[in-house]
Amino acid sequence: MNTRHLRLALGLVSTLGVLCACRGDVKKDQLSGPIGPGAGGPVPPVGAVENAEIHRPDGTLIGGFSYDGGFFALLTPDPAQTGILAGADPGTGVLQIPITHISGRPDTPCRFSAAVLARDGGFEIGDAGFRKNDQGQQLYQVNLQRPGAYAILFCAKLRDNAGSQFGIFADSPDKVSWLQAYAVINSIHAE
Amino acid sequence: MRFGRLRACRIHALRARTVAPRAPRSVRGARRWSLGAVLTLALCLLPVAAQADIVPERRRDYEDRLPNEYLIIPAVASLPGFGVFVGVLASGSNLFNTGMNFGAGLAESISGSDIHLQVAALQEVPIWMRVLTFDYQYGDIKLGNYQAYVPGRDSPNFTYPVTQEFLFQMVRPTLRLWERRITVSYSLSFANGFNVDLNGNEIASRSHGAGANLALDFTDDVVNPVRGMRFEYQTSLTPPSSSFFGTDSDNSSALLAAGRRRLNSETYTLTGYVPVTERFDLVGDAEYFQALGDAGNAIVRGGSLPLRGYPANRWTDRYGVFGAVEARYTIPLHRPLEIPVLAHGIIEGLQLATFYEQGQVSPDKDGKLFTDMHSDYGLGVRIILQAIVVRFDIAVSDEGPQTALTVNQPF
Repeated sequence: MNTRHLRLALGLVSTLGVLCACRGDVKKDQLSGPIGPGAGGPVPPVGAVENAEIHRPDGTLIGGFSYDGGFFALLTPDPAQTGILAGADPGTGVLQIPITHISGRPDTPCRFSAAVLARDGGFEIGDAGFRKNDQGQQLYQVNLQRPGAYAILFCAKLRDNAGSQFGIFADSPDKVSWLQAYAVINSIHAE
Repeated sequence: MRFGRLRACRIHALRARTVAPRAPRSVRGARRWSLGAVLTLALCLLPVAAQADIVPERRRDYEDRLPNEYLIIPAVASLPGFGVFVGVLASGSNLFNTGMNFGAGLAESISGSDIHLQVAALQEVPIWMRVLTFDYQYGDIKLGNYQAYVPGRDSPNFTYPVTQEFLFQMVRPTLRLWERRITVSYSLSFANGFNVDLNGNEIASRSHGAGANLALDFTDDVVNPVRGMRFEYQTSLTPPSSSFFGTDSDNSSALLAAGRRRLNSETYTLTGYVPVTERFDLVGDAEYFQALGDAGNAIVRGGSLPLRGYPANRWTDRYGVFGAVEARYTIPLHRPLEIPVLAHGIIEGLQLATFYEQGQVSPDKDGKLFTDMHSDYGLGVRIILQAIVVRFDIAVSDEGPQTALTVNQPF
C-alpha cells in the first residue's frame, strides 16, 4: 500500500461518514394544522362559561382560558396557576385537565412529560406536533395511551418564555377528545 | 473530549414517579468503601503486576514520537445523538517536540438538530518536565435543537428538544509516572451559559464541575495497545463555587444542578488486550458506574452506557454495567503520510475492527442490572498514526444504526 492508497483510505473515512450519516436526525412531527372542535360528549354552552386567567409565578398575567362551569369542577382553588379541572361525567370515568406552568419552548416540556409518562406510567406515545387552536394560539400536542387510560398533552408558550401545559386525561379514547375538553383547549389565548 | 453535561430547560410538568422507595443506606460509608477499594486495589496491583511479570514492555517510547504529527479531516459525519455535521476534525501530536498535543473540532449541524460546536484542547502542557502536565479544553457550544432522552432504565425511545448555549472550559493537571503506567489527574470545569427560570426569563447561569481520575496502564503501548490490561477509576468531586474561571451564579445549584451536588458519580473500567496473531488481537472492556448519595425517589444519572449503537446518553441511571468485545485486524504500513495542509506523520497501520457490546442500567444495584441487556454490534475502520488514531465506527442496535467519526480508540 503506497501513499496514494493512504490518501484513498483517508477519503474513504470521510466518504463513509457522508454515506452513513443517516441517523441522529430529528424525528418529524406527525400532527399539524388546526386542533379542531373534538367530538362527542355533552355540548359546551355558548356564552355561559367561566373565564380564568393564567399568571406566571411572579403574578404577571400572561394569558387565559375558559371552561363550562356546569361541566367542570375546580379541584384546586386556582386552576390557572397549577391546578386541575375535573369534568362531571355521567358515566363511570372522570375527565381531568391538569394545568401546570412551563417555561421555554413548548415542545420541550410536552415531549419531556410524555416521555416521563411513558417511562413511569406505562403509556405508549402516539403522534405529536405543533397545531393551532381557534384563537390562533400555537400549541404543541402529544397523544398517549395505555390500557384503560388516554391522554393528550397541549403546551403553549403564552408570553416571553412563559406558558402553560394542559393535559386531558380520560379512561376512554372517546372522552379524551370530547367537545367539552377541546373547548377548553380552543379557548387558550395569550394576553 | 468530554464536555459539561447538557442541561435541559427546567420543566414544571407532570413528574409523577413510580420508583419504589429504596432501602436506606449509609452513603458516606459506601463512598469510603469505594475509595478505599480503589486505593487498595491500586496498591496491591502494582507490586503484584511487577513481580508477576504481567506488565508487558512498551513497544515504543511514547515520548519519542514524531514531532508535529497532525491530521485534519474535513468531513460530513454524524455523531450519535447529535445529528449530521459538516466540519473539521483536527488532531496534532508532540507540537514542536514539547510533548504537547492539540485537538480541535469545528462543526455545524446540517440536520434538524441545529447544533454548533467550536472546541479546542491543548494537552500535556508541561509544568514539571513531562511528568506533571496540564490540559486545557475550551468549547463554545450552541444547542438549538439537541435531542435528549429522559434518564432511567425504562426510558422510551422518544426525545425532547433542548436549547442551550454556553462556553465550557476545563483544566486538568495530570501526574504521569513509570512510562505513563500510572496516571493521576484532577479536572476542574466551568460552564457559563444561560437558562430559563420559572417565569420564563432568560438568566445567566454559571457552574463548576470537578473530578479525579486514576489510571493503571499495564499495556504495551499508549496509543494502540495489543497486549496487557488497563484499569481506570473516575469520580466526580465537590467543585468549588469560585475559581479563576469565575464564580457560580446564585441560581446554579437550584436551577441547573437541582441538588445533584449531593451526589457523586464513579466509573470503574477494566480493559484487556490479547494478541492472537501478529496482526489480529482481541480486546475486552468492562465498565461499571454508580451515583452515590441520597436523591429521594428521583432517577439520577450515575453515568451513561457507551454503547455505540445508541445515541449519546440514551441509557442512563444510578447504576450501569457495560461490556464489549472487539476484534482488531491491523494491516501494518509504516509509511510517511504527507498531504499538504491536511496531514503530516507516519501511518503505522490501517485497522479493521468488529465489535459486540452489551449494557444495562438500573435504579438499584441488584440482579436486575444484568437482565434485559441492551446490545449492539458493528464494524470500524481506524487509521493509526504514530500518536493519533482516527476512528470511524458504524454500529447497529434494536433502535437502528449509528455512526461515529472521532479520534482515539474506544478503549
